[in-house]
Amino acid sequence: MGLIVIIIVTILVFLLIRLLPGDPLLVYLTQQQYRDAAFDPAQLAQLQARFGLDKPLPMQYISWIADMFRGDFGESITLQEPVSKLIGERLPVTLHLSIIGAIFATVVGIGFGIICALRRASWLDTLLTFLANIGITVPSFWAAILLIYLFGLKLHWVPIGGYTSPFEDFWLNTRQIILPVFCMSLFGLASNTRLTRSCMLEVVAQDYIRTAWAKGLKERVIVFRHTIKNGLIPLIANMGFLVAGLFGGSVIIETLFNIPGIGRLLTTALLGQDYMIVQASTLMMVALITLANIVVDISYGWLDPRIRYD
Amino acid sequence: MTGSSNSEARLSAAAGWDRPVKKYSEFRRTVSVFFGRPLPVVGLVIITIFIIITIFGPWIAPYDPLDMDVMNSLAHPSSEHLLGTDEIGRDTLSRLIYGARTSMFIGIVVITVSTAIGVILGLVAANSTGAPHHIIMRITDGLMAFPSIILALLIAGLLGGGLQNVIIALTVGMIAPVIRITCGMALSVKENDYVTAARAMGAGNLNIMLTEILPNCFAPILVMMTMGIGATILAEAGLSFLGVGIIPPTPVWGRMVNDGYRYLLTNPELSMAPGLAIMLVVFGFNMMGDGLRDALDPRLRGVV
Repeated sequence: MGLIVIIIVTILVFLLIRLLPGDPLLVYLTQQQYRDAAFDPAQLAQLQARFGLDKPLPMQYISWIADMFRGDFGESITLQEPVSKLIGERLPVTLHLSIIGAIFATVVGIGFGIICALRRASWLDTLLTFLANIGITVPSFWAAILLIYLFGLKLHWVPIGGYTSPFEDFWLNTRQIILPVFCMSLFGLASNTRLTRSCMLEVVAQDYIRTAWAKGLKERVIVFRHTIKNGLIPLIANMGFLVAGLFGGSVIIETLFNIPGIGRLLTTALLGQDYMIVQASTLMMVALITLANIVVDISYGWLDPRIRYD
Repeated sequence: MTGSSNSEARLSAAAGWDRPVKKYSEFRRTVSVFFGRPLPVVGLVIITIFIIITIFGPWIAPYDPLDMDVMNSLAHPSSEHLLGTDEIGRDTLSRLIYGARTSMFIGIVVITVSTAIGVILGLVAANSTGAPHHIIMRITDGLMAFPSIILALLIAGLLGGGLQNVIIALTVGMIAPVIRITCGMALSVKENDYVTAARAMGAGNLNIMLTEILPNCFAPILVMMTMGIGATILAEAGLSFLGVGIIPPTPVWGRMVNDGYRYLLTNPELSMAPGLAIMLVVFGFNMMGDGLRDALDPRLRGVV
């Protein structure tokens, strides 16, 4: 199932980039022209042969896939570097931010949701629900600018951008990634809060919870063993969206915070029409999202045996 | 005999069965549920104001959004320029008002087109077996694997900016969820007895699709359209923010946030105001969508 999705995704990415207008080689040649002030059609043909663009589309597709299995993602047209090297440098940065973001959004979001459901209609519930409703609508770049203004420019608590490897300077790295991670995970955090709250409220109304109260069980046991365990199953399904949201958000947040991750690589490559990078980095992100979805599906069926996929 | 009918009469009187049945209107129930809670109403008010601004923008705006008052560039908010001016002296409030038109136009066009295409493909997928169903649904799966912003970014980036290309990019990004939900709804509606009855009476496939299945998919589609306009406006802002959206100098909110970012320390209102506008409008559409869903069919929670 997941494999079919990945195959379709590769075809979509491949066709999208080939069939849309805009010839990256012409862009490349124009750049060369500025340097060498010479242009001849033979050069174009030579370049087409070098990047394998003179073959028919199905052949290009097959050789592209075959190359990828050998770890060869082609060569960047603008940066003149192997794409696999670029992705190898950038992907860990994005993964670092995304994993911390996912953990943050899950733990805090579920925590807030449980508090809301257990203290329903209290001022705390009203406040958190309101904030969650704001959180799912606020544009991440705007939240980022707001926080940069407040914590970076006014209070000088954190630097306003950049990325240092955590192995070099852990403390600086932590201060640098606090804001981007928060902005990336804001949507996930808010949607987790909303979802946890509504799922928990649904479970609280079930007969077996009333039975548990009638049996005289302690509140702690009812909450932790009976309610939370069943109420959180739908949240697992949300994890797939969470990962997709984190990667999607990385495109904007990394650009804004000047973080050398795969999202910024994609944006700059797109603006520079460097489609070797575009197709490889898009595919990398979508493949990771699909992988996350497969893990979610498997664990979902495993946690709740009533759900089985065909 | 008389005794038992007497007690029956008393019983029905006690239960209120003898009272004339009040005419039950589904529409009235929906309206009362929708207006019964504060957040959907807040959403509706925000959207109404937004629509008024969109329609009457040229009469409300104090200045032309493209007029440059270079002597007065980067002015702070004053009675002359309520929200100040940008780096080439254009009035921020006027640009904000005209930006509303761009956002609303894109939101409505994208959602109308993507819903139309998505519903048709969804119905076709639900009513066919074999190849058409599998092709449509697998491509949908593939499209759903992309984060919507990345798909839109790819298409807009490769086509180049501009209103038309942004609309195409966002439309493609919005179709997949419509197909999936329409197909799911249609498949479950198809199991109902009234569909079997229609078929028994000799109704054809197309007839059943249009007169039995489509009307019963109306609620989720309407909810999805409402929330979709908000999501489209947010995505368009993201694209403009990254510089692959509408081409300047047309005022758009996302680009205004980005342009104002450089003057964050001296003129924070330049990027704060358009960001706030985006947030308010998206909030309005989301809350209204939430309210519509709960009013039309609470079982749709988690589906749409």
